[in-house]
Amino acid sequence: MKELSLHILDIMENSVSGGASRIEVNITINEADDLLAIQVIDNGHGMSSETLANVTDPFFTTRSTRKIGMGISLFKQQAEQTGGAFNIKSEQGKGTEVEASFGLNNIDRQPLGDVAGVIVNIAASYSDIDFVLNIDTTEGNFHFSSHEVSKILEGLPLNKPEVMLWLKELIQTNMTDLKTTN
Amino acid sequence: MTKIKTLDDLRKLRDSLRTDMNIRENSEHPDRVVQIRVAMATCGISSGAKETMDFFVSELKKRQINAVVTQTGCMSYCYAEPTVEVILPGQQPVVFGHVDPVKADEIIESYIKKGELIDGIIPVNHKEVEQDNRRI
Repeated sequence: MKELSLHILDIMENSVSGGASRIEVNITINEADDLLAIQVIDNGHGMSSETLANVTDPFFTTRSTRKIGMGISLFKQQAEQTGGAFNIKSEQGKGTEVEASFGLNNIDRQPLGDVAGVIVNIAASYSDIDFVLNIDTTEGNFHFSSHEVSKILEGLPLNKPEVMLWLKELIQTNMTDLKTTN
Repeated sequence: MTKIKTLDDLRKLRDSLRTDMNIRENSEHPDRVVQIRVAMATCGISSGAKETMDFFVSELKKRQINAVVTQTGCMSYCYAEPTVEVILPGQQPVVFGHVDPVKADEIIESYIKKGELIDGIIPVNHKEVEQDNRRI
């Protein structure tokens, strides 16, 4: 995966598989502290202590379709190679919280990528789940909730290509204003 | 039109799109529109599935094809990612493998527009895959 947004997408898909009804992505950028932090929080089934202990092992997965699970281990590697850190907390019946920090200006940090695209694509696919995006930078902040937007659209489906392109533009415009394009 | 930046901008667009009653009617009957599902597990994402999904979203709008595009979990064809399931109205699902934007263009022009089958079909659909997994 070449962009951090794709890692976020991968983790959100895990949250969907984990039965979450709300998935929140928090992105914090702090130039002064040379910090980019990404947090994905869900209220899904959570993991057992055994699964949690093995979750960063690329040769561990809970799935039966294949025997490896690279997603979390790749995300952890990306954070650590920029001098950042990775942490995951999970409790059965309550949900999971994945957090990674990156050296903002580290040469090995992957670009943030198309966050707007991944949020809109997944929100359009699972209308029952509320996908929340919070961006916090020194320039200001931005909040997006797919369920809030659904109410505003009054029945227009989020998975119509026209609507998806509007929502991508809405998020992208605000992210550009907050100077979070990369 | 200026950039979409606020929820008020969305409200204005909603009102303009609402005049197209066909869209609302079809949204209540998804079996009447083309349905496209892109597999978006780690293997798919790493192979470019998001780029494929973005291509379908933008091109279906440009080519004015009435369709819905969604992503889904693993279809179990890691060797053939990105994989895409296409359901034409009233027909059985068809799964295509190795769908990059070039292949996606061919799917739109040949299969979706004309109903012609093209190379790259995986001879099973997503429901059958899920049933197979349950048997394991």
